[in-house]
Amino acid sequence: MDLAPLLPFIAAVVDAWSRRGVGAIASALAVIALTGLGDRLLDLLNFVFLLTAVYSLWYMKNAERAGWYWAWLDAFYGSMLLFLTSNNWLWALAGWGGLDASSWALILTYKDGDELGAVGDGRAGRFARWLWMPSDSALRAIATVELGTAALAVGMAIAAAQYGPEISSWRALQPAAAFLIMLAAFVKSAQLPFTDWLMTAMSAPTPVSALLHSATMVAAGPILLVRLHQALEPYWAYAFIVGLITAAYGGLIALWQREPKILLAASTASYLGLATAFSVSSPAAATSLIVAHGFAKASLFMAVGEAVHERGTRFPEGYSLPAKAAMALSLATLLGFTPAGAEAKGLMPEWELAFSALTAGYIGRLVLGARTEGGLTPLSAIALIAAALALSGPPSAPDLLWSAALAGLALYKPPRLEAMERRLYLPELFAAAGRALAVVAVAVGRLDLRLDRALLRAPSAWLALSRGIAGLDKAVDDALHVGLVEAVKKLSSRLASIDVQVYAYAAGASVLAVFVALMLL
Amino acid sequence: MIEAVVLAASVFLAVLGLRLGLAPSLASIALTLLLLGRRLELGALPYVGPAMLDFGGYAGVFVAATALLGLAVLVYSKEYAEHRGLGNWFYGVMALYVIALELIPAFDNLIYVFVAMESAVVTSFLLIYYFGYGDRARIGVMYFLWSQIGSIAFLIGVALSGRYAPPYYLPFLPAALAIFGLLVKMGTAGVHFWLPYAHAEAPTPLSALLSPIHVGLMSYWLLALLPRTPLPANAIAIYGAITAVYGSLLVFRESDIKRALADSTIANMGLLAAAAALGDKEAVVLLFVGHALAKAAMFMVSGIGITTQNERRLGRLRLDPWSFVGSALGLVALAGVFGITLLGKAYLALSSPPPLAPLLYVALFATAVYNFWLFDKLYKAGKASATPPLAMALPMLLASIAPYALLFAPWI
Repeated sequence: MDLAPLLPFIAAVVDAWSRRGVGAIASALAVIALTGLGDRLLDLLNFVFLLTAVYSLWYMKNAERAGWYWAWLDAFYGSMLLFLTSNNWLWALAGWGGLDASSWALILTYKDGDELGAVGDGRAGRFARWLWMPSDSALRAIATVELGTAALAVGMAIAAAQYGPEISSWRALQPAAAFLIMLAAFVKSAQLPFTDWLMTAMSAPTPVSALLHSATMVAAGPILLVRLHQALEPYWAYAFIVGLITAAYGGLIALWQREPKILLAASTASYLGLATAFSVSSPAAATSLIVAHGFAKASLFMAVGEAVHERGTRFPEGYSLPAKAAMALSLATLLGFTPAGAEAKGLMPEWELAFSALTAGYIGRLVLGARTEGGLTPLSAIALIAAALALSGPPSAPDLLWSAALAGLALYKPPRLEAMERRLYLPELFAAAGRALAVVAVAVGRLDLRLDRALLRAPSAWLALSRGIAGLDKAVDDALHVGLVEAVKKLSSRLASIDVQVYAYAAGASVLAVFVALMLL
Repeated sequence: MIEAVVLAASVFLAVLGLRLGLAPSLASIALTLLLLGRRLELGALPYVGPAMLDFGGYAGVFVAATALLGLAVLVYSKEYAEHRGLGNWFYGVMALYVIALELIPAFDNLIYVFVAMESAVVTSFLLIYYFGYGDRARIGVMYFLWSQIGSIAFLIGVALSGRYAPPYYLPFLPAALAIFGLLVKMGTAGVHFWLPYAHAEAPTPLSALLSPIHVGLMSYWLLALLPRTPLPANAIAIYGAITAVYGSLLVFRESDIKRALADSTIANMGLLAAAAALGDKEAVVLLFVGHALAKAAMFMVSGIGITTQNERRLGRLRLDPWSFVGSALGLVALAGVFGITLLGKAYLALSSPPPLAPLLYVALFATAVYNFWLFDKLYKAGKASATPPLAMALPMLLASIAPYALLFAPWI
């Protein structure tokens, strides 16, 4: 294993004790120095993490669980580095699992009851109440993503048994391995029907969302598919269909979300859907999209996070001008007007414009549908820097056609649609599945209890058997040692009571009888 | 020769611990660490044949895990024993128990293995019978009887085979008996009913060894003996995976943290049985050590709750900041989401035949998820105001961090 992924884990120990992000920033700088620049996915991860860490210095300044936050944030970074840089399947899997654990722990940063840790409006649904506290969100997230991690462990093991431990040497995968690996990628990147954990993961502090939605966790799904695109080539259609359906779902429901962080989460599902759709059939397009989306989404979360942090509410009604500038620049990236955005856009078919129009609609809702209030703060400055990172790519001229997507801005005030606001009731499906699992667990628990009770009655049966045997034993004992003795005694006294002459006559008669018999013979 | 002296001295110190308490008991277990990597020829006995104690190689990993965890648990148990007013001889019996556990994988002669198993059963029975909770006398006897069912089946199987020393070979009937005995002692599905009672009602430091180490050590012999039998290994692997799912589902019924952890042991024994049945040495050792450390940490968390709050009910037991961190780390490690248990699960998947993949997938998922449900219960109970004593918090934290630290150990 390389040294670089180890550094954030060392930083995690340091930050857990110091409760400051010094280790995080130092480890990011050290990793950049060690790995250098050039690998686009690594650059995305390193710079987004560095910016997130700096952003968190302000955002998490007075947080109660600061040590917890910093330690797990470092572990999150280390896990993604491990996943990205490992060619050995075991280390890649370890990184993948580390992402699960870290995201789960980071969702638990706020306490239940903290307004900023809640998600939802509290309305009652058929199977669920639409209000998720950090502990609910964390459980939902981990219970879903573990479906993917277990699949990845088994799927990669089948592939490793066939081709060896180096991922780069894997070729055409067996259907079982391909199915499991793709399932893992879909779950990780919140593809349908495994989408809703990503929405409630918004219980985590906003900088976590900035990292989770851009360069780590969800990005790992399509990155895995890109890495294995040769081995998965025959199955590209599955990724394409699932990705496109999720892209449409995420893009559409984003238009109707009231909470800005949920809106952005739905947008992430949409863009990760597009990345998934192209990951196997056009890995270069998917990689470019992951990079462009990563910088844009990190910036968007940071911009929204400024208002959330300053006003202490999940429903900010206004954003500062620099934050809106960062949002606008991020939108420009997603529409293809910055070098990173243009590169991604240029590699994708023209019908992708429809998704760009949706993007303009929901980002427009943040930029145009909210007041402008407040000036430059360190948080909005960092959001601007994150958005500006999308300018760093090789210059490429945007296509004029792409500007048609700006027509989507007209969607920034959509009419009320209950089903869309309710995310097409996917959380209800999730809650129903959870209840079904609970029913299975209760049934197994009851079965076990019955068997246990039956076994606990075994001592009574044993006692009855033992009493039966003891009774039999006593009967034989009595017969031998009481009954027989008494009988012998009785016989003896009976015999003793007979006069001696009778015995003499009997003896004489017997002798006579023997004599007569002998004579006759 | 020096090995015999060291072993005798550690037994002597443990016996001294019966009278003098913690210090000689700790010294006794610490002394056994000197045996690591060493061998001791025991000569031949009539009928039983030659025997050897091997504290190195593959067995050495199991011995080292047992000794180190034994030390940590003994340090931890001081506050616990004082809180519950346990006598000095508690420490001595604990030390003798740890030594007996160390001898289980170290012996190579199956008759001696049986003797070591019985020594561990007797010492742990005494600890449950005298220092346990609730209906401890009845549960102690229940534990003893089930253990005897396992031990005697193992002994009869081994005796019928007539091959006590390596290379072992057990024909069908002896193998079936011996393996059945080991599975009873592991507490796999169907023969698990004793386990939640015994592990939950044992004094908590004992639970921290009983649950992860004692039952887990049987996987060492399962791994060693199964390839030397005509038994269908794949069927046992399937049974192991079913046990993993079954045990995981049982956790959700519990309202007591110690019983929940005991059910979790059933699930993990399922994974270990599957790994042993598939002959995967790496998976067995990674799953054994990973489970041992994380489970011990979690039992220590429950002991902290008992000591500081007199509470062990889920939903009522509150976590102090140290236990909060320890539980999070311990349960994530136990889940195999990160840490060496994850690698153990990966190795298990690697050695599984493809038809086992669907069941194994369910088993890996099930054994992960219940841990987070458990943490959710602890989390929702709120924050404890009492701070745990350092002697309890430190071993708990070390045990919960170790599954991650070992991930970066060079030999892994």
